[in-house]
Amino acid sequence: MKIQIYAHKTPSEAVASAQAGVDFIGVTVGERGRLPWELSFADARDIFEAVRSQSDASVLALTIAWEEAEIVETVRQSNPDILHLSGDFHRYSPELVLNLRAKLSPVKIMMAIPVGEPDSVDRAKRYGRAADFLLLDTDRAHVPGVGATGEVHDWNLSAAIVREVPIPVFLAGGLGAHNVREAMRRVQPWAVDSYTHTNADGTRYKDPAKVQAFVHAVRGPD
Amino acid sequence: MHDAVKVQIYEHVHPDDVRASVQAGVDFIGVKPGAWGRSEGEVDFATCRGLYAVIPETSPAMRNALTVSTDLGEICDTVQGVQPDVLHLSGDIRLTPPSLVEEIRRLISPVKVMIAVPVTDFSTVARARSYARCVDYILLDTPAAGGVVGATGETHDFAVSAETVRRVPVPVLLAGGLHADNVQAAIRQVRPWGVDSFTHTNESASRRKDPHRVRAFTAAARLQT
Repeated sequence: MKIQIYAHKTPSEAVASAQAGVDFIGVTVGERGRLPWELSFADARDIFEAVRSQSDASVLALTIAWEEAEIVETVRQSNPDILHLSGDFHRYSPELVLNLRAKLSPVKIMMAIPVGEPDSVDRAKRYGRAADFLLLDTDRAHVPGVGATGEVHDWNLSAAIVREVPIPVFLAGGLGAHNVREAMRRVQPWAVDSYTHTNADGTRYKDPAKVQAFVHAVRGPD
Repeated sequence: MHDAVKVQIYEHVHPDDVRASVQAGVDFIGVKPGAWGRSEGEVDFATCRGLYAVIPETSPAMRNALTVSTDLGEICDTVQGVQPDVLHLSGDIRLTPPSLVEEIRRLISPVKVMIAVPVTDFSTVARARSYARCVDYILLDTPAAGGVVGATGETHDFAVSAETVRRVPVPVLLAGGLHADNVQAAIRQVRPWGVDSFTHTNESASRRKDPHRVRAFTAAARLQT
């Protein structure tokens, strides 16, 4: 089972996660003030270089941008292994994702799919051939883009998506050490993701003890 | 708890075999197209397209094209000629270094790339990792004679495969000597994303698939334990 953690803000925080056994190290990147906690291209690049030089982990740049030029600039300037598209789902057509994939290869593309409505499975299937990874997250109106809600969604829908799509699926949304084993059993994703419940209480900084507890909960009994 | 495991089956040479695999719930339908006589049992491009055409539009099954070629021109001609969902590189891996595979993947996008990595000792982990950036799937298989990989009917060192699964950031399909009676144990030990069968789901002494063996393999791979 692979593990992904968001959102790192410093090289030392990111390296600590990688050394705890996290496989996918996420950073929110942007220079247009779209999200209050996004990092500059230069800061993101520093984090990615630190992780690459000190671990085997892969690094991701999350953006909620939807225009091709801004997305391409974000990738070229920050140099991640994976681009994570997490903005308003309706703005990313499968054709846009295909274009980005061809243009940015070998950088891979993770597409965030909001799960909640009954048509979530069909939604996800439309991206199964265009994207490299799907991330299934909780759909809520009060947060920009997809995710960062701290809440779980209907895992039956996510389980159906895992069985239907021919690419690896990351399960996200409200996961922490307290519920991740149950989520793994129910959904059988390729990877699990945590943001809210591995942050220090009431902040957007990672709590290394919570990250370690999450990793242990995922891998401990295996 | 493995009922989400993906199943890949090689090699389909007859439309009825494709139909049976789709009905059995196989996720990756393997065909070996070729126009240069590089491997026994290759089908020509038109036959390959005809086999793919049997898969309904509504099916989630992926259409794989396996090639043992390591020549960029031949590989691109094959992709253009059969229009698969996945290109499966299964030639001598020494002749398809990551730089070449990266170029192939960029040229054929959105077709996904799978590379067969022969499992030897623990150096396999580093070799598989060197391809992680430029492929979509890694297939771990038993080495065969002459630098090629697969179609041996024999398993390999699962400890090496398990460590590779833990260390590569792309989904891994386990291949080599799997059948309905050993696939559950292999999944428990290696924890792959998917499993592959060729030899032991063939009809005895023929290149056709045995639909009963394909169904038994698929069911055994996804058995809830």
